[in-house]
Amino acid sequence: MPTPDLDERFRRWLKLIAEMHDGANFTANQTIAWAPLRKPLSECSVALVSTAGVHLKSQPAHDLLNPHGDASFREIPGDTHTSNLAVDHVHYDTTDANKDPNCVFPLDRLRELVSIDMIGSITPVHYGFMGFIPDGRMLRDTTAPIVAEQLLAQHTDVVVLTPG
Amino acid sequence: MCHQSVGLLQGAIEDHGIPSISITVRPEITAHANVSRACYLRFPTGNPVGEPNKPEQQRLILTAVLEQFTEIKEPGTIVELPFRWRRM
Repeated sequence: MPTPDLDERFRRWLKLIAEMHDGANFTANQTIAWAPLRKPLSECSVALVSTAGVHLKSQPAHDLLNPHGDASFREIPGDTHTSNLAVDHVHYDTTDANKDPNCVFPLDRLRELVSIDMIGSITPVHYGFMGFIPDGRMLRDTTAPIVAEQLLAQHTDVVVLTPG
Repeated sequence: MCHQSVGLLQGAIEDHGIPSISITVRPEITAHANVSRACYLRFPTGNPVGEPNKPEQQRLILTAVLEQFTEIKEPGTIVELPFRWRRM
């Protein structure tokens, strides 16, 4: 839905990231890939993928200081208690997310939707990235396809993605 | 930049044949990311699913997002959801 207003805001953002981050390279998908929903949501297994910097407290946080970003991911088991999650990111205010990770990673809410049969189930594993990756090609060419393969292997029917 | 990363992950996931939807609070970035389906909330960064410890609000948002799977028919659609940020 690019509009003149959004285009102008986008241009300002591109200028800002080029000034702030050496090697910043806005990377978009070449085409819009489209997979249709194949069954009712009430029968779907749903996965969460977030770029908000979510990880288990027992896992290392993402590398927040690397000027080139960090395209690695953390596997978050679907039965994780959200009190065992931490949210680390330096490019947005994580105060609310650390009070309640559901602000950025709504795992509790997803489980509730299973209990009322809105969705069929959640996948065994969900994924946490830290979205500060100035050169998007790093993500596109390395870890994004790995996570997509893992989601396929888990027989994921639907993915919900959240930013920070 | 989180939104650029969401876009690339969403592209890879759809490329693998799995339908997906993302939440965006920065539609100017998402509009250029070439993603299949997205929901725009006029919320601050850090709160794409709402306020902390407001499970009812978060559940309504997540439900509205999931319902868009049956509403969005056109690749590249970004739908604005009718939630307002009201925290004082």
